[in-house]
Amino acid sequence: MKNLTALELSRKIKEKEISIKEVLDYTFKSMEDNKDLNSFVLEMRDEAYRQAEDVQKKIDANEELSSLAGVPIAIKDNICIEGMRTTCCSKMLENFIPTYSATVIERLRAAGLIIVGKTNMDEFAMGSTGETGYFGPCVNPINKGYVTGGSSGGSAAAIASGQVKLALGSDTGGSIRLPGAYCNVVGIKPTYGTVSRNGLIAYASSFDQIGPMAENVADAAALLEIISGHDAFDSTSLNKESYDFSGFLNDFAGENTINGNALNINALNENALNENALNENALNGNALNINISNKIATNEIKVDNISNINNLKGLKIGIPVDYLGDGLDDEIRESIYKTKEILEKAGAIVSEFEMGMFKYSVPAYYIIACAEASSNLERYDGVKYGLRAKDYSELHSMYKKSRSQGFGAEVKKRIMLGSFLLSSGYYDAYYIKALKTRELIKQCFENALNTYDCILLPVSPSTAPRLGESLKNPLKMYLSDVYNVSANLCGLPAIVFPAGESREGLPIGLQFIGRRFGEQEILYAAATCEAAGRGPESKAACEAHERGVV
Amino acid sequence: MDNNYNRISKEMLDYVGILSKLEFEESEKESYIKGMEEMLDYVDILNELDTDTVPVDGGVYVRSQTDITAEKSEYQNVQNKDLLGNVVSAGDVNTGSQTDITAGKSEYQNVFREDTVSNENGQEAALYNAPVKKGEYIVVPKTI
Repeated sequence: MKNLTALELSRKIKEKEISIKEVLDYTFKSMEDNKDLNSFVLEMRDEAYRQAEDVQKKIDANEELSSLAGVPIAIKDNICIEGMRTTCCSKMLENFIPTYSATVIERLRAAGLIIVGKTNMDEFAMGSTGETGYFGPCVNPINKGYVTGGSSGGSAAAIASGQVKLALGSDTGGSIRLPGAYCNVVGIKPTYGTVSRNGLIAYASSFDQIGPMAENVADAAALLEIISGHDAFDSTSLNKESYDFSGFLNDFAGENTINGNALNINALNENALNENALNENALNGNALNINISNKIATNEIKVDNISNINNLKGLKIGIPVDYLGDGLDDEIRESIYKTKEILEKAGAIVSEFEMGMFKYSVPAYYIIACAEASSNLERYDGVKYGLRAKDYSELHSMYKKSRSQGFGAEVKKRIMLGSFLLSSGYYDAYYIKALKTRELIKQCFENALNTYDCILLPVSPSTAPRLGESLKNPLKMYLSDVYNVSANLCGLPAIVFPAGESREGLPIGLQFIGRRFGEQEILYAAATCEAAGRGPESKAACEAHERGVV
Repeated sequence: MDNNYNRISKEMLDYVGILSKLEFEESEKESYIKGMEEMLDYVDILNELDTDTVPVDGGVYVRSQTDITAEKSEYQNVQNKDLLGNVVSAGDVNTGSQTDITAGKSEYQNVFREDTVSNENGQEAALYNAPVKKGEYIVVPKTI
């Protein structure tokens, strides 16, 4: 089970090589063994075994199920599951039991995935390190002295340590991508409106998106496909004709080019798995002839395609050089240029350009996010649900005491800042100014994406900081999302993928940002980089795998 | 930064406390003031930008070239409104033919549905998480 992808695991479950119960035994053992990582804030053992029985029955009856049926998945603790404590890792919601499930949860269950627990996070998703949660910090499995990144830190760590192969996170200003980068995990922040927010506890509603996290691109794409789609309960969810995010990956192995090792290519290709550990390799001259003949025999690839060994041929990728200036670690900059080489070898046209507006994205983001947060979190009043303080004199005293006792420092700070920014006399100077800035940033991305199919960026200016260091310097912490917030400001899709490691042995993650609904392009580009053996092959990832049970 | 623009007085902090329904120990006040001032000084960088002619944004979509071609016809009936309900870029929208990419106009569409009851009586669920309740009611302090 250890080296299987989630897609392969599901296939083996469906072929009855392994039962879901066995998979769960394995998973809960692994969760037990990794308790020190503090990845989970709730184990859903009974629930999971109950669900497993139902899904197993369907499998035994040969019912048609999704490509990930039977696979255990972890859920970030800001996504509601009926009857299961959902806390947002806040004292405010310490005893909150949702009376309904988020739409994404209903979708996962309908697809036969098994929910095994709720993962640790920054309180109300406000934090970039995974350290602000009420239940203590998330610990990075690759090096336990370091943070996981946040806010979806528990989800990333649970995958990186092999406790699960799949998880849901949420991304308001980098909350999937930053932990993905720090923990060597793939994560997708979908186009705004792709995944229903119904049942996601709100932070900043015009940015929030739920997204998949996984060990590899193909698993993440398959999971995205399952959770996407229109939902009447979220009027910002769009009604698109197609949510096919993984189908195109099926021909990936057949078309694959760069230094593909069998493991990665298999991971990309559910259907072509057996026939096609092919490596039609531009970099690997020795194997080239054999592979081409193999390919003709097995896949009946047209002659045209044989001369065209570039699966990214014609894809235009832009690197905004003005985003790679001071403040970015040299090693991460190097990794951008190494990735550029890979992309070029795969036939992409990679150009450097000036995007503009770099230093304005975080300020605009924080103004809008705090403003929306102060409004969204007003609902916690100690009346309907959540914590109510014990001693209070009258109604307003109850509100104030309940909120002051229930929220942690970072959350309070953002609520206060948001209330201030929206108050009479400051509204135009800050809030409206930020909305106008957002418009300017959107114009920059729009212009860039008229020229390029996707944009390659770092995820963070540096690798993971040590535990306990970041909260002392909040401004620096906020700047760790300087590459991430633009995708949220503009509603664009982004994918984080592993891109090697620093000399210290800490993971480096990069991201592609695509056009609105350009998930396919960024998935394809990320899958190419992954297949080049840069991601899962990194030493740190292998060691984490060794440590983990799966 | 040595401007006085973003100094938060204790009175201002108390006012923010009223707005955000939070209260602070005397000993916490300094650190909250410092935290807010630091952020305000930082976001002041936006004042470098001339935004006088920029329309107020209210959404998250960037249009790509493909979208424009595909959705052109849909623009006909879409009215763009900013947060205050003012119609923005209505000219481009109504003609549908002269969409200006560089102007970065955003397209939003109101989503309406029939106002029909689709859920069952949710009283039990609504009361389920109330911290203090009595029978079918949530208990709150005397309000009048």
